[in-house]
Amino acid sequence: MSFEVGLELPAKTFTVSREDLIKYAGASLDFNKIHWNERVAKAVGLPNVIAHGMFTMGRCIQIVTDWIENPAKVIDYQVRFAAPVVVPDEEPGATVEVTAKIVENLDNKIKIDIQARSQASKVLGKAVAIVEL
Amino acid sequence: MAVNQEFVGKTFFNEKYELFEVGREKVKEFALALGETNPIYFNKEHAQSLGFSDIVAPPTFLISVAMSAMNKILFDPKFNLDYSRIVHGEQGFTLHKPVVAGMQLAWNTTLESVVEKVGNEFLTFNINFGEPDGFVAQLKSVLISRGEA
Repeated sequence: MSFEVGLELPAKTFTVSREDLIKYAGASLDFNKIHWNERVAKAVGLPNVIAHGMFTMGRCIQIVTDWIENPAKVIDYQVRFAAPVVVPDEEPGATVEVTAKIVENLDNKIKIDIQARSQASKVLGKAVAIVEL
Repeated sequence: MAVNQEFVGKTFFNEKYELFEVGREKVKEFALALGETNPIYFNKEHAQSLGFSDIVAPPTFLISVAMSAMNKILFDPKFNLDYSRIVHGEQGFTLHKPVVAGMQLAWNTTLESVVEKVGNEFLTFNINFGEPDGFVAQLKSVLISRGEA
């Protein structure tokens, strides 16, 4: 396996449906209504139901963990949420495209930059994972 | 509607009965909700063959406990927050050791700051997790309370 700086990890695409958000709400204990109730989401000025930032964050790290296979090697993961992933009622919901690249390789640790887009918006600002080799 | 600044700098600890046990079924539920398929999250024998004592939690798993920790402040009526106006601004995880099923975690949470920017309030929380023999993880959460404008 190569860990060279500049290496692009295999890209990923995932979809997010309302059903996914209900399951994630239960699993993560984040029951904020903006993630499942269109009326409440619109009442507070959002375009529609939006995905939990943590759902997006949790799915985006899979570009790293599926590649490295042992997820416990991810020792640090930081993201800024740049734009919400808006999830329409119609199946399959929203689509998120994820890419990632090794940007540093130091002392047995690699730093990976992750990019994620949905409907042409960048949904993650700075998103960086550190993997201990 | 501004939140109550008196909470800034305060640290809340888990009560003894609130020690968080990383439950095997909760780990599986969380992994399934993220569409995970790696057997390290589901199959104890597989995880043990890789040197872990039990199934491993996904890297973002501790957010579920961090939510309960932050809720001590967020849902305190004196904090004066409308939770439906909250969106997530930033999130960080620093993991000092793998989180595996069966761990018993103590935690504390501190509201580090509340900063207003163009009508929105940015709430920064630090949440620490530990076992009796040391730190397990540090989380940083920035939540944005969106203004009415």
